[in-house]
Amino acid sequence: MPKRPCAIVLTPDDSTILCADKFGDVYSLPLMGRRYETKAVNGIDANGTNGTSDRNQKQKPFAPSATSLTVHTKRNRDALRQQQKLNETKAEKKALNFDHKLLLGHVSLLTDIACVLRASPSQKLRNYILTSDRDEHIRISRGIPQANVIEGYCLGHTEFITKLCVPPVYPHLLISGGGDDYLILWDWRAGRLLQQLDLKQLVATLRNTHLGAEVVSESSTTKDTETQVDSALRICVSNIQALEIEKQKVGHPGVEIIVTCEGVPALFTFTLGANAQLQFNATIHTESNVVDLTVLRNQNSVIYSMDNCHQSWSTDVSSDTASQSPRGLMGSPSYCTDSKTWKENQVLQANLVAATRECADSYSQISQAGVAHGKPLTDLLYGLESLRKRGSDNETEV
Amino acid sequence: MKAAGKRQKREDYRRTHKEQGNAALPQKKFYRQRAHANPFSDHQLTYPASPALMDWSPYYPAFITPDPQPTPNDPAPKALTKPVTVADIGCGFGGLLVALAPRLPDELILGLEIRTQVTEYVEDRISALRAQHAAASSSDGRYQNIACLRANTMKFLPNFFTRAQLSLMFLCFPDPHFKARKHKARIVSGTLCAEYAYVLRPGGCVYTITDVEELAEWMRGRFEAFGKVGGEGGEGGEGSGVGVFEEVPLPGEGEEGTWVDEGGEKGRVGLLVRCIREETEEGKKVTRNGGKKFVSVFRRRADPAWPDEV
Repeated sequence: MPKRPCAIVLTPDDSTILCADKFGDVYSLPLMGRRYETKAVNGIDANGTNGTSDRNQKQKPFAPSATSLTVHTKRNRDALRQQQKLNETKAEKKALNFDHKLLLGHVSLLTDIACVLRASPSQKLRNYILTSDRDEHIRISRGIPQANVIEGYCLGHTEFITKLCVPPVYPHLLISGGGDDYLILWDWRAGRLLQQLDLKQLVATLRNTHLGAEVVSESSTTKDTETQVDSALRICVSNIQALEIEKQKVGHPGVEIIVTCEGVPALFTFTLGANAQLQFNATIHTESNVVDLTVLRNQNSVIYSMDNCHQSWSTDVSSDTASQSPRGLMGSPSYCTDSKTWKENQVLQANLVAATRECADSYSQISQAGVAHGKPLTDLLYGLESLRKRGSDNETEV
Repeated sequence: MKAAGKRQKREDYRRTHKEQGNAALPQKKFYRQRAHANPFSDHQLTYPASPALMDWSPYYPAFITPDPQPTPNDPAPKALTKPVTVADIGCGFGGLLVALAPRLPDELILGLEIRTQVTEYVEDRISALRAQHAAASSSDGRYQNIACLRANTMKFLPNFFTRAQLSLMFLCFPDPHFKARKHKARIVSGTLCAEYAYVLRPGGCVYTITDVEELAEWMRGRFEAFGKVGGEGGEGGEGSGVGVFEEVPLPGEGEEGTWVDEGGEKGRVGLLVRCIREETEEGKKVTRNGGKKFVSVFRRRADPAWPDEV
C-alpha cells in the first residue's frame, strides 16, 4: 500500500477489502486480486527487450510548473533556474502492481472504518462506508460505487476517535469512542447524537479504588457516583465490541457492548436495548491491563488478552513479576442470560490456558532476548494515546 | 535583535490601532506572515464541534436573531437571521471579501484563512470599514455581511457548514505546492472535492483562479473527473459518465462588462469573475508583475440517484 494501513474491513458482499490508511485515504482492493507483472519499472518490458528507450519516449520531460511570472523572490528565482537547468527526468514513483482504487479521503489520519448495509425507505439494501479520523470526524459516505458522495457527518467528539462499532443486530446505531471522556451513541444516518455516556467517570471510580488499595467491595465501586475525577486522568478507548446475546425468550435481541481502554485493567460492559439506550452493566476486573478483545458470537463470550509486562494502570512502569503464569495472558468471561451478569467461563479459560502455555514459553524466550523493552514496548501495546494532539495539551495548561 | 524590534513595533502598532477604535484601515506591513502553512499539522485552532454549536454572533453582529427572552449563561449560541452562504477559502488579506460585500448585499460572506497574522489583518480591516461606513444610509454599504475567521478548511470545513449550506465558494490563488510529493497538500484534490460537494448546494458554484497554469489544469482535472465512473477520488484517470461538477462558460478577460450588462445568471458570473480577476490582492499583484490568470468555475450538479433508485 502507498501508506501504512490503519484499519481494514470487508464489504458486506465479501468481495472487496477497504483499507483506510495513515494518510487519510481509503482504497478498495478486490479480495481475490491479481498481482501484475511489474513491467517497465525494472527497465525491461514484457518482450524481454530493453524498455528504457521506449519509456523515455512516453514520459514527458520534466518541466517545472512554476514560471518566472509566478515566483518573485530572489531565492525562489534561483531555485527555479536550477530546476530549469536540471532537465533530467526524475525517477517516477514505483506504481503499485495490484488492483486498487482510491475511494475517498480525509485530510487527517484515519483510525477506523466500518462498512454497513441498511435498508432504504423502499426496503432496498444500501451500502455505506463510515470512517473516523484523528480530527474528531466520523464521515458517512455512500458505499461502492458512489463512495465520493458524503451523506453526512457525526460530529460531537472533542478528541481523536479510535473505534467505531455498529452492532450487527442494530445496524442503524453506532457507538464510537476515543481520546475524550465519552462514549457516544449515534443515529449515524441522521448524524444525530442519541446518548453521551461518561466513560471517564467509570474509569476514575475504578482507579480510585485501586489507589485507595483498601478492600472495597465490588458493589460499592459500581454504585458510587460521586467520585472525585482526577483532572489529569486521560482515557483512551482501545476497543469497542458488540456481542449479540442469544435469544432465550421472544423479544428484542439483547446486545452487550464491551469497551476497553488503554492501560486499564478492566472491561466495561453495557447493555444496548431496543430503546436505543446504553445502560451500564458491570465492570469486569482483570489481572492486568487489557490489550485486545474479541467476541465469540455463538458462545456468549469474549476473549481478552492482557499485558503482563507492565503494572496495572501503567503503560510504562514494567511489572516486577514479569514471569507471571501464562494464566495472566488471557481471560474469557461469559454472559449469563438468566442472571444478566458476567462470570468467568471455566471451560474456555482452561482451554485458553492450555493453548497459551506453549506460546508463553516461546514468548518468554523471545523477551529474554530483549526484543522490545521500555518505550518501544509501550508504543507497541499502547499506540493510540500518541494520537492526542500536543497543541491541545498546551491550551489546557495556559 | 532586529526581529524583536520588529515584533515590538508590531505590538505597539496594533495596540494604538485598537485604542483608536480601529477606525483607520490597518497597514499590511504590520501583519506579514510567511505565505505557506502546513495544512497537516495541528495548529492551535478553535473550531466548533459541529455547525450547530458555532457562535456566529461576534462575526455578524448585525444579523443576530433578537432573543425575546434572553437567558444568561445560555449555552446555545445565538442564531443568525440567515445562514452564511458564501465562503472564500484562503481569503488572504481580504480583498475579495471587501469587494463582494456591496456586490452581494443579501448574502453572508465568510473568509477563512489559516495564517493568524493575516486573519487578524482582515478582522481589523473589516472592523475599520464597519466603523467608517457606520453612517452609510443604505444597509448595503456597511460591510456588516462579511467576516473572517482562522480555520484549516482542509480539515474542518464540515465543522462550520452543514450539507448544501453554501451557494458560492472561492478558491483564489491557492498555494501551488509545486512538488509532486506535496500535491496532497493542495486545496483541490480528488478526495477534497467530496467535501466541497457536500457543503455546496446543488446549483452552487466554485470559483477558482490561479496564476500557475499547471495548477489550473490540475484543478480542472480534479473537478471534472470527480464523481465519474472510474474517476473516483480523482487520481485514477478521467473516468466516464456524468461527474458531480460541470464547468461553467466564462467571459474572456475584458468581456465581463458586457456579461454584467446582460444580467441574470450570466451577469452574476461576469460580476464575480471580474471580482476575482481584479479585486483580489493576489490578482492585483499578478497584474503588476505581468503574469497570467487562469479562471475556471464549476457548478455542482445534484447528487446521483442511489443505485437502487435507477
